[in-house]
Amino acid sequence: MTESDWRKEEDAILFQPIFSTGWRFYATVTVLGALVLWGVISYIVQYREGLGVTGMGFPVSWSFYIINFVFFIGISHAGTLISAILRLSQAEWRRPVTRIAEVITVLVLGIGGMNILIDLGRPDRIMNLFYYGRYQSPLLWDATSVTAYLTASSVYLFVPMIPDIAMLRDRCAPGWRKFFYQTMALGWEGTPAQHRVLNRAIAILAVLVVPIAVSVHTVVAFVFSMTLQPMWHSTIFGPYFVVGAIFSGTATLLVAMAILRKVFHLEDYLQPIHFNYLGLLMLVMVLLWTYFTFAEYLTTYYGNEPNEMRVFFSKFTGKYALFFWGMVVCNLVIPFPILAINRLRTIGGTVIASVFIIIGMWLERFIIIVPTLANPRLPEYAQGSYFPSIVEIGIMVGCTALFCLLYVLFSKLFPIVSVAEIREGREHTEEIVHKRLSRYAPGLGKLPQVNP
Amino acid sequence: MENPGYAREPESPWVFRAQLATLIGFSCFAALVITWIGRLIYISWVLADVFSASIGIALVAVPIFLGLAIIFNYVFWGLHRGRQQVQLPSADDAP
Repeated sequence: MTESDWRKEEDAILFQPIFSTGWRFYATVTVLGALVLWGVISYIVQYREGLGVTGMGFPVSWSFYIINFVFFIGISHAGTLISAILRLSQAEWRRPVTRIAEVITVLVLGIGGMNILIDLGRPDRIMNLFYYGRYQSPLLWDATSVTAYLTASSVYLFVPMIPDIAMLRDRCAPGWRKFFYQTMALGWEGTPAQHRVLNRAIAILAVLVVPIAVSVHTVVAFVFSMTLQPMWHSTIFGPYFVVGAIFSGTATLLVAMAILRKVFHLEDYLQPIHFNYLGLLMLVMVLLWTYFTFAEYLTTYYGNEPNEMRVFFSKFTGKYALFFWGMVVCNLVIPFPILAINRLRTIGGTVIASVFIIIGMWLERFIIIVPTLANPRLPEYAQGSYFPSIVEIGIMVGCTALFCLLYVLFSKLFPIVSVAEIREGREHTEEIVHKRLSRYAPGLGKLPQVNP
Repeated sequence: MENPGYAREPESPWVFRAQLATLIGFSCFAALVITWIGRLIYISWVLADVFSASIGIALVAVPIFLGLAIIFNYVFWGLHRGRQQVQLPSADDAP
């Protein structure tokens, strides 16, 4: 098969972005590249001048970078966790969704981790972590768990992708790209023995990544809750962060699906039912997030501890009220009716709800971090305020653009929807589902023969 | 599924070398992380600095990295062993 032959086969649309490059690709890369450059220049300014160029100071010493770290790590739950759960529960509709989700995880984890390095005024001091790290610090738990999750997610993205890489290898003309695909295909030929190895590895990985994913955001929450700062020292922060992470992750996945569907014409693969199912999952997350938020704030209010009440009222009626109520509107008031009413839970509806949720969840991270630092517990520390500088905004835009750019480049190298899984589903889904149903549905006989 | 029906060319020896380099790189990464965790445990022991916390974290973290390295090795060698000796038509052919 030559590179031109791929057009004649089934699922050709999935190979199209890889083998044909239009002006839109170059335009997108240029725009995103320019935004990344803005971020790089901003970082160079910060590196040369020090953290004084940011809006951070005393007592607000954590802000945009840590907010983005928590936000990006949260989004990472879109991929591996959702994909692993769908795989383990044998949800057949997962097939076009899993890869889109897994790529998000790997990319945002890298960018989230990068924000920690950016937050260091002296990045060369990162080596101290390797030489003199102390494992009783939750910051080091974080470093370990994020590294573990990034490694596990990368392997979990790569292993199911091997059959697709082999297809690309077989469709490529000799050159660097063929060599690249040959190397990454690990000699895949689709033999029964290879299928056995691959399926076993995917099953083990799917089981392994779920607890890792949950632990990562729990540990991120521990960074805050292990301190005695007002409104951080909470026992429910771990699960609250995990719920928020799945919430924002699902929203990001839905936005990514809608964009890819439109840009790559994947209407046959990403059907309204996928958006509907993920919309329902998001509806559950809206309710769970609301429940946790309510529980967290009610407990603080009822306790009426003076230091906590200062933070509480700065969020409810004070300086940060706009952000707090903005978060409530974006995370509950707008998405809840859209996702709860069947007629509104369309592709457009779920995407609108998702965009609001992404904004709302970023605001939530802001609301958790900044008001507490601005109202510290110790009375001798004065109250502070925070306003981001242009350098921080530049780095944040750069990080977001870097994620989009890497996503675009990934979709240029690999099919963004798993071709092998789609084909496997097309051939075997009916049989697999029937076999599963016959295990618990009484009286279900043999699969009816379908006339060709 | 339609069989594209073609024969693949034999791979250059550099392909296997590159694959092996990837495997060694990944295994070294996992080994480095485990060694780093071991070093942190050693420091906490020498300095009597909450040794139990380091052991607790290591008990969770080390098996994860070890497990991932084993899975990657299993996939690598499993796929290579599972290859057929004769020339196959296409990787698209599912069994």
